[in-house]
Amino acid sequence: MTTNIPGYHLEAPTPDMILQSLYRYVDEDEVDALWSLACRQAGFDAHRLPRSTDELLPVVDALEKLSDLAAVCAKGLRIRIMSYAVLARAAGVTSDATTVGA
Amino acid sequence: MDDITLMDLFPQFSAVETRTGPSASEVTAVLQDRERLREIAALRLTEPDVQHILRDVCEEASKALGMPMGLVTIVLDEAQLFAGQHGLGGWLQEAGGTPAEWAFCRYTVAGKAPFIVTDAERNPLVQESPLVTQDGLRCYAGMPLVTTRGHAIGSFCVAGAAAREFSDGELQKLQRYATETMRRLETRRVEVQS
Repeated sequence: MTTNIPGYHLEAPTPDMILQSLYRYVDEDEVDALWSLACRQAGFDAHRLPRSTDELLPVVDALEKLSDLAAVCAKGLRIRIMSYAVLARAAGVTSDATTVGA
Repeated sequence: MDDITLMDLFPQFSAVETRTGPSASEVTAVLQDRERLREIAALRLTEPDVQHILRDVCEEASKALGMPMGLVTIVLDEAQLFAGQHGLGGWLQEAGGTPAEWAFCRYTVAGKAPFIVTDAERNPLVQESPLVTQDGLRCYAGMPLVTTRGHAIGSFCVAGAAAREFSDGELQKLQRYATETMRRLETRRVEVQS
């Protein structure tokens, strides 16, 4: 389930969105390694993956430090996450529901 | 730079509203171009010190053109980043940018040419952007920021909440600020790499 912000039509960023973005710029066989490393650095593991918008923020922060193209890609995603979070807060929308990795 | 006119840089340029632009797929292709994104990565434009380097030129442009906002945006694949800004407030300042599909600057970058909006509510390219429908942005003038390697990485722009025209002289000034911005960013590239 994703939550849309009224008027802005902005969907909550998801782990899938981040992975799709990485697949565009990083070799396919490197994406899983980058994603796992970023999740680990953000304090997650195979048993507890990031789910909410708030939890994705430290993951993209970790990605920003890993490689050039992934860093630029992560910066864009960070802005989308922040846009969603700030607008959701203002609109009183709960920004918690993602299902990837479940 | 004073001797170079906008017509020298952009032969098709005129100071009237831009009502046609690259298609959505053309915009996406430019924004997702790997070489362009590598150039942004190489310039390290997402680092915090860039804000400090660009703050004064944004403020100067805002005042010189009598506009509430002066901005340097870097247009990434998924979002535009406010790399330098004067006059931003509210959620835009807190988020540090917007999703790319809302950004007027995506047209400036994709077209690698000036993009002028005198009344956003009547401009088919941007009238559905939430920046217009929700945040009240009405006018915009942006000049592309093009690196020495030929990549359009973002825009130097002014924007406001009231419809208005831009004169040739104002747009010439804006181009000078864009040139100064690229000079600062390229100088910083050399300093960061040395």
